[in-house]
Amino acid sequence: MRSDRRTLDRLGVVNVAGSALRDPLVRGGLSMGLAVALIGIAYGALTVDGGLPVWLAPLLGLVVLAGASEMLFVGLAAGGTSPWLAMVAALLVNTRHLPYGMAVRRLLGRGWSRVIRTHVMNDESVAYGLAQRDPDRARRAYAIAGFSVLVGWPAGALAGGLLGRVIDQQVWGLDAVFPAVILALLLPALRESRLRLPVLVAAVVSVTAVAWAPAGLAPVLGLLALPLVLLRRWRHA
Amino acid sequence: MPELLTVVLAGLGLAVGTYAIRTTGGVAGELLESRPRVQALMEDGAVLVLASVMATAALTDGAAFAGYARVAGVALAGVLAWRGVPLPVVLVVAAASAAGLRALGVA
Repeated sequence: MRSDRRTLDRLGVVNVAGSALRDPLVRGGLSMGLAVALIGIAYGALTVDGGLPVWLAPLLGLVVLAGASEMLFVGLAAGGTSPWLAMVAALLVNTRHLPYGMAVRRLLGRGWSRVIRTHVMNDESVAYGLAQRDPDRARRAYAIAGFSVLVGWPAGALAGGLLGRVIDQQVWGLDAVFPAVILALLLPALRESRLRLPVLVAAVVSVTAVAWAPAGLAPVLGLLALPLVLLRRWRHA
Repeated sequence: MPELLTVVLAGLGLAVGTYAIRTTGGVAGELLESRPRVQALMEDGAVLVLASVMATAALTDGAAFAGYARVAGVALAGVLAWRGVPLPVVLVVAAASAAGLRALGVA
């Protein structure tokens, strides 16, 4: 066993993979891919359950790469809503990528890298990137989480489509995973007291808005707490 | 069930539209780049939206309450993350505690 390992070490394989995995930044990013894969299983199952083909969820996962909007789109389309109407509703859910893009513009790079990095913009990569203070680490964190999700999400969707109804999201507690990821990534920002009250207000506003706002738009309404950020900054200036 | 081809075309429309929103955000951010205060405000805005995404995902299902099991799972995960527990462990605990509570009959 040990000598096998040494042979592999000599080949450099274990060294590269091992040192990458020892990097907490990589481990954190990979665990995010795994988390979205688990949620993707539920998405794939939902798609097949709605009478749509197995390949649809992984395909949308790859080209849209925005989980909540895909689930809404598939759910509506399978339920008989016009696909074009479902598309508009799903695009509404993705309006939050506008403020995301503004916040992470520096992590996007230039040229081809920018084209791809723009595509992997999602809740996880944005939160992971913004959680890093150092600009270089932020760029790496954004990319690691982004590509990890780009692989994990469609892979999970495919698995879910093949497994069908075998996995019940509620029984396995998978519905708690996504909010837990985002909460864990937000904590560094909340260690500074400056943002605590605005974040609390944003959460209350958006949760209240869920009852009446069109599906998926509620989180964007959290921006209504932005004047509070301004006020606090102005007072401390 | 609408025709599959229409669903696929609308899905591709969703992909193109979503990419357009992402690009627009990046470009708009750069246009405002010269103003450091606006920059900082954009980053805070993203944090507010992320917090709202987290809160609605933790507390609601459609327009209804998500139930105590999920909320407890997410809250426990938050406490562990705050104490510096590694993310993979935090996520397993979130799922396991929500599932465990449901197994015990907590909705």
